[in-house]
Amino acid sequence: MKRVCAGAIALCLVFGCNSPQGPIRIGLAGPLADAVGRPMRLAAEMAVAEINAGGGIEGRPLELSERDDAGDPDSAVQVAADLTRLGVVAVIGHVFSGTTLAAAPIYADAPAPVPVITPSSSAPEVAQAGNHVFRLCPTDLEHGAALATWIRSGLGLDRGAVLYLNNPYGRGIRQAFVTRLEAMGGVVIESDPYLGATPDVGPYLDRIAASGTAQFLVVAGNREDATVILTQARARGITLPVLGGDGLEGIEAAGSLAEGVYATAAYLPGLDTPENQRFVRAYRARYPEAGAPNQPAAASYDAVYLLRDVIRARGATRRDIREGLAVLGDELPPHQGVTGVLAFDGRGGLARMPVLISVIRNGDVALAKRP
Amino acid sequence: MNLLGSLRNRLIAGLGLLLLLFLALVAAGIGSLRAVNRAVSNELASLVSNSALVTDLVGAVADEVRAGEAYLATPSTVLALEFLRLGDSSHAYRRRFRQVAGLSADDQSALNRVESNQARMEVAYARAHAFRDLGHLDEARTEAAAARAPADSFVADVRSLTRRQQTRVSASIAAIGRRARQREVLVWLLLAAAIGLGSGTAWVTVRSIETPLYQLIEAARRFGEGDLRPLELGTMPAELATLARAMGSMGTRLRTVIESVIRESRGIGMSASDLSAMSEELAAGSQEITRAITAVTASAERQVVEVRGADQVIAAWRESAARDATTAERVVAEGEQANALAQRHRDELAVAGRGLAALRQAVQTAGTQTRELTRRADAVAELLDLARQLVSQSEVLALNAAVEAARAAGQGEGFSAIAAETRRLTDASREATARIATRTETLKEQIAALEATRQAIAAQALKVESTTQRSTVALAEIARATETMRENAMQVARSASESRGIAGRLAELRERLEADARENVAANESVTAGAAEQSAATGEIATAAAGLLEASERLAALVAEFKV
Repeated sequence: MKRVCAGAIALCLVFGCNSPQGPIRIGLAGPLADAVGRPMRLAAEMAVAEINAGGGIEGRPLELSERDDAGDPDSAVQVAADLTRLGVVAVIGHVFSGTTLAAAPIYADAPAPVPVITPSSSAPEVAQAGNHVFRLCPTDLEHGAALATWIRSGLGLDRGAVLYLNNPYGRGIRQAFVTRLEAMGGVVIESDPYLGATPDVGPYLDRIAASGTAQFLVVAGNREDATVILTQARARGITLPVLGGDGLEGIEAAGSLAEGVYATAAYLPGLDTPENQRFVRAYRARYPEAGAPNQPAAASYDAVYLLRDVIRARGATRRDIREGLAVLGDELPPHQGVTGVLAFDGRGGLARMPVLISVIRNGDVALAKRP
Repeated sequence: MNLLGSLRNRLIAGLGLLLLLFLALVAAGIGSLRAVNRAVSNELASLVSNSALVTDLVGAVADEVRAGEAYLATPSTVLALEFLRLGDSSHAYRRRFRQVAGLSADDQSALNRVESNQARMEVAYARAHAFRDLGHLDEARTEAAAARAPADSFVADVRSLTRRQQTRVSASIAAIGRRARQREVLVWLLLAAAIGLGSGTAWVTVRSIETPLYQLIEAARRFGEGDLRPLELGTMPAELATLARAMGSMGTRLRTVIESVIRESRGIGMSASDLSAMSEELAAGSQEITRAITAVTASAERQVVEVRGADQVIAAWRESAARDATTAERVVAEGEQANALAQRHRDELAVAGRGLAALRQAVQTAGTQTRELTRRADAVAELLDLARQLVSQSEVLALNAAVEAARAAGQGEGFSAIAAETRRLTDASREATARIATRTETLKEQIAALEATRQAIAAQALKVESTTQRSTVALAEIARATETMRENAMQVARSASESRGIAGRLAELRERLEADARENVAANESVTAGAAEQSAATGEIATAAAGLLEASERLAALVAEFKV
């Protein structure tokens, strides 16, 4: 009997099979407790609740197995190993490129590779993480390029400094931005790395202020460190326009510090598509205290529904899901989601995902430029 | 359906099983070698690749550190960009390292620490550079010193990673070795199994062929010894079963044949005896036939001779008939000629009669005309007298005219001419009258002669006419007689012709009789020859019957050796 049970467990680990009649278990991984990851968790739970309220998938309910990686690659590795052992059929996560890249090999090395849908890991290297990794956002290359184009074409500036979070995301935004800006005739007078959520970028800011030639300041990092940098900059009297990638999403929470900050975005709560308006209304109604959903939230919401469609079309095993996701937009029809029309190219990225430019005006996120 | 029911299938199955075992053995050996080779190659390639990656990563970070230190000594944009570029390169190497297959969670954590330490080191140098650019050298040195700790950790983590990789490779090599040994054992086991199964298969195959084959050999030996009793063979492969059935069938047929031979040899013996007796009787009959045929032949020959005698008689008769016919025909021809001659003479006599009558009429007419002619000759004589008178008067006239002319002299020339002409006319008339008188006399003479002739002719004609009439009557009688003779001759000719036809038919009959006689003779000769041959054949039959009897006795002796 023990052998039978051990065999069943082994089969379950190998094929990622939940009980054929039981719930379909999906992993959710990310910094679920912080300002970036919490909306993601809420939106995913809302999607699962909606689907289960409609009878689940072929009568089987969805079940989320949530694991918090705190945005840390080491934690992400542990989370990945944990979710793989748990036998989830797919994982929605991780949020950051560093955590996704750290966890991807763990998912890939499982006897049946776990398909991963990351809502917001935009580093270009994610495309090389394996054919089991899919993402629902533009890459850093697209964000960085869109930011440089906006600076040159929208703002008419050509000279500035870049402060970047020294991780894959920050480096990716910086490299893409510098490449496109220099291609458009702009000059980056300095590129300075920083660490953590509370960086000390004083020396850089002093040098920028001392040079006096910078027309803009790009912060290639996340919302928390951008807030700190803004504080330090304003403290030094630096009033240069501050711009950033999609990591600055939610920067409006910094109040007046964030006023006038431009940021690239794959999603804005104010998008006027019917799907987004319905999603935002439902989200606000379900979580009135949570504020507006962010891009990881919208993309995770889309990811849950995407998995539902693929499982219905192909089956509930890891292999079925991975193969179904690979042909989304080809053999399977594209998914009309909150973030747009979702279809994958041959490397797990979105075939088409526009990059928006947002600006904080009067404390609110406004659309500065449509693509 | 028994798939192994035939020798062919048993051999194919046995050889196929051996071949499969051989192929499995070879495949297992090759597969093991290839798997070991592939695993070793993969591990070596991974080791080489990882070593290269580690070397590149460490080298890039070392260069980055050197660039960072160089900037602190002599700040420049070039060095700043170089520092940035080397940092990007080292991150790229590390990312590639992360994609190495088979990294454990500890390896991933080590890589995360490597990245973190590299990031901390870069930030420390960047801050040091900023302080350096701002002229804060102490802070710059402090930041640069702060970079050494993460750099040391970086190196330690890289070494740790390298060691783990080496350990992993060693473990892999050991695992490969174990797998190789396991496969070697497997190959040996397969070889042993192949040998065992092959031997078993060969033994089973040979036994399955050998046993029924020996049974068949034994059965063939029995057949050779003449034991044709039914075979009792067990289950056999299809081909040998077919052979056994064929042998059984052959034995059955042989038994039947032998039994038949025995029966037939007995029958032949009896038949030979009967045949011998019959041949003797046949020989006696042949002799009698020969004698009868000889008599018939003699009779036929006599018949031929007699027929030939009859033939001579018939030939004489036919010649006589032919002569009669010829004579009759000649008589008929002569009769016809006589008849025709009589007819012709009768016609000529009639014509002569008619000619004589006409002659008599002509003679009478000639008398009349002679008399008329005489009368006319007299008239001519009167005319001659008149002419003589006329001539005398003419001469007077001419003399008068000449006198007148002489008197008239010159005017009388016309009278002279008339007188001349009248004289010439008188002369001519005188001459003519003389010639006429002459001729008239001649004529009278001829008329007298003619009359005499006419009278003689008339008398002769009367005689001839009388004769002619008698001849005509005689000729008519002759003609009737010759007609009768001709008819009689024709009757004789027809009779002769009929006699000749009868003789011809008799000759034909004789020829047929002769031909029949000859055929009889020939047939008799053939019958005689046949009788002779029959006699000879009868002798041969007798000899054969004797041989047959001996053969049947030998055959009976031979088949008596078979057990049926």
